[in-house]
Amino acid sequence: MANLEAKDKMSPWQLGLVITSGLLTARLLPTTTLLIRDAQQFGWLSSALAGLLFYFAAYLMIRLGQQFPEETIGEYVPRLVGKTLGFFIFLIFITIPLLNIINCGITITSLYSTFLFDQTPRVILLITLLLTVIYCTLQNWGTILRVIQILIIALPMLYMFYSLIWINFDLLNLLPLWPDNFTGILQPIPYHTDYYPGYEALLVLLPLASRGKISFARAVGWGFLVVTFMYVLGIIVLVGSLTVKTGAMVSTPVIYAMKSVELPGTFIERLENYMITLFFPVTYISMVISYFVVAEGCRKYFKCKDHRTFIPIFLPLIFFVSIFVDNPERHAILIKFSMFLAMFFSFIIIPLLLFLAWRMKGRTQRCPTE
Amino acid sequence: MGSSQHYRFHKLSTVQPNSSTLETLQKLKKLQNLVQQSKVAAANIRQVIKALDKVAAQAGQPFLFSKCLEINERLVRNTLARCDDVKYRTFRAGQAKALLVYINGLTDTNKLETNVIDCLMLVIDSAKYEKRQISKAENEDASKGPHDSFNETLSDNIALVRRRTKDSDLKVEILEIGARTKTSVALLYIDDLVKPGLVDEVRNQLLAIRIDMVILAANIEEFLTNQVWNPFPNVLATERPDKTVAGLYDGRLSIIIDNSPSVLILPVSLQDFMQSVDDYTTRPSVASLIRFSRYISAFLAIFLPALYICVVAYHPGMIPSGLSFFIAELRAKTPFPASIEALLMEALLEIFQEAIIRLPQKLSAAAGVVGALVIGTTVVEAALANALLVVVVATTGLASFCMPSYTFATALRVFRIPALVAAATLGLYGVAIFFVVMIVYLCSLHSYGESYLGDLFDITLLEDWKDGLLRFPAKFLKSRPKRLGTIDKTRKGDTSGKS
Repeated sequence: MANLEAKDKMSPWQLGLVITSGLLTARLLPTTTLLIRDAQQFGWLSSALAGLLFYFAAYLMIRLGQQFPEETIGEYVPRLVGKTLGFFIFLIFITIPLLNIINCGITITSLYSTFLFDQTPRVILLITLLLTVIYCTLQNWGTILRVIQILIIALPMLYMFYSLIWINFDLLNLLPLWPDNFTGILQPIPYHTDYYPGYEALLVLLPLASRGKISFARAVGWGFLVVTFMYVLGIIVLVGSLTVKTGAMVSTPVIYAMKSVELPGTFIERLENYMITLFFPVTYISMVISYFVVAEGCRKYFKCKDHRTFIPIFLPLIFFVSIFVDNPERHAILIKFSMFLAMFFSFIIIPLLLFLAWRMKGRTQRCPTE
Repeated sequence: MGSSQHYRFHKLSTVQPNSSTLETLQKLKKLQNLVQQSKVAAANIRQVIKALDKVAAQAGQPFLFSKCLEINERLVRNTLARCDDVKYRTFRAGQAKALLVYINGLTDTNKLETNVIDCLMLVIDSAKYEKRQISKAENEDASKGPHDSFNETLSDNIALVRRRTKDSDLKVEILEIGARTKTSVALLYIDDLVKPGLVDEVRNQLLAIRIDMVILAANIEEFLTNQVWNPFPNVLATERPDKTVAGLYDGRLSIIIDNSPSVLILPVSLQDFMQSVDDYTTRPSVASLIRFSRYISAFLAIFLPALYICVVAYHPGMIPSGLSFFIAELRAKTPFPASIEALLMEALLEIFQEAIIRLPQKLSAAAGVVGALVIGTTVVEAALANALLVVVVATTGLASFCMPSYTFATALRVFRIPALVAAATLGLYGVAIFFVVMIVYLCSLHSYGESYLGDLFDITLLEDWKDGLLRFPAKFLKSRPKRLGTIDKTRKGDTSGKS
């Protein structure tokens, strides 16, 4: 049956929504311990600075994408740096979302396995999760976009639920008000690759967005602003309700804080279970976006007809890496590797590519006949 | 009408031998775009012609009548083009030529025969057959809305729609489907509203139906989708003329099938199955609350037994300890695991529902009492299921009865067992997985290019949210559903009563 209208394009606001929904995942749960350990009471300041920094990276990506409208990174990178180096950069690019999928999968299944199932085999949870992600990624972009717009409802619900820890908030836990260790505030900024993952998707999703009244940079900026605000407020309340000492000691401070909330006279108990359940759709969205970005990026790079071709190719890789990372030590190494790769890509490769794009454009303008 | 056109189809490689598949597909896409644009242009030209005709006409008339009958006839035929229910008879009245124009179904043929036809020695359609009178809607009763409903006669059904609107843009195309039965099928739409290309798409689909008999509306319905295994209905079947007319003015199409009291409305989205006529006869705040409760009911109709299993079998800690111990005590009396118990009760519920529907009306009430009271109580006493599960299953059944559309309610029932299995296998995680899968599945469904979920949480369709999950007051409902892509997007006229 003919589709009477093209539904694969999105508005700038939708692009902003997609990028925003990709940012918040369960990945932040274990990293919060490191953040509180290093930045102590000023974790919120660290998150705010990180938000600014990562938005800058996203902005650079938007500018780069705008140099090559209707093209994804895989298409223009070989023109900028040559075929071999281009392939290498493309490989780094697709590794970042793949690592996001793996990290998200490991975190969410570990959470369920630990808190809801008394150590039920993680493999079973992982297989079902990956199959569900694949089912969504096999759809066209219009359908994926609809799924994102519906499941994103879980995000405000999650935040409202999380806000219950205000009950245990104590202002004294936030003292001192003035930091004496500024290095401690800057030190955890790289860890925020777990707080702000997935914005690299812009390099593939920009051609799918149509220009509107609002610029892409502004739409994405609003998304970053909202998420940064959520993080800042979230860390203030977390430290305020847990103390720095406890927060830096437990493996998942957010869940721990939720566990200590009691709502006397209400029906519900074990609030952390509800919270973990709400983390599922939120993380799922990020996994779907990342998988689609990998498949669509490859489709464009290898000039194939359909992004679906590449979905089964990466499944064994994701599954076996996720299974291999079966203990906290290996997971910590994976998190570090993901962090370095994301930082390297965002703050070294992208500015370099943008510089080369500007230079190439300048040359073309000077010699239009070439 | 009624004659189907035959096309010759070739492989793309035959038509474009030297191009790659990708190039050919791009060309095809361009061609499709051009066709679509030409349809929009044609629709615009029709509007211009109509406006030009009106320029010289007197107020309330579609064109200026001339003294020449042929010109007048041409103008009438142009205005009422694609209205197959309008009949024309040319005759001589003395020396002058005259034209009789009437709408089949709206005109009393007996009086027409006595007063006009007999005098003029004309012949009109004299076919006579037994038919059911127009009566109250049996499955879609509304407390404050009109009570007339469609019957099995095509001309009566078209007349019921025509009676509600004097719009000359209401087109009625009558096709014949069914190689042997040659059943008349009417396609109704508002010419200057409906999305360009949609009528052609539906007409082509209808003409492409190759079956020997059309007896039920469902015979046609199944040919209007390519997702044949999808349990959710892709057209809205109604027996209410008011609902049909409202659908037409939203920019939808209606299909009336001779010998069927069910009229099909399309394209549709999930919201359309969640709305009832009563939503527009009650206060907006109340209607919004009722609508919202229907969505909750739809969720419960699928997930309540699954959530019961989660809590009882996997996560008893999520409910207060007192209640948890109480449930454990209840369950200790029954020999089955929670999932088997729930499946057993589900099977019983399905049997009750089926029995009540199949039984004559007088007996169904008695069967309901037997099911609810006798079996419900004895199942608990026989320790086959615990009392809480009976409450859960009964609530699930009631939740599915809240749906205004029976076909939609049955579709929800289909998903209850898989949800139960997901919960029995993986607890809350399984339910979360199944919920996400259902959302993806629903998002993947389309009705003529429109998402089956309609405007639900779609930020590009914010205008449509006013009459979706909630119902805003009428003065805010100034635009037609944006998702239907109508030509005329605003509902003309001021809601304060001024035209």
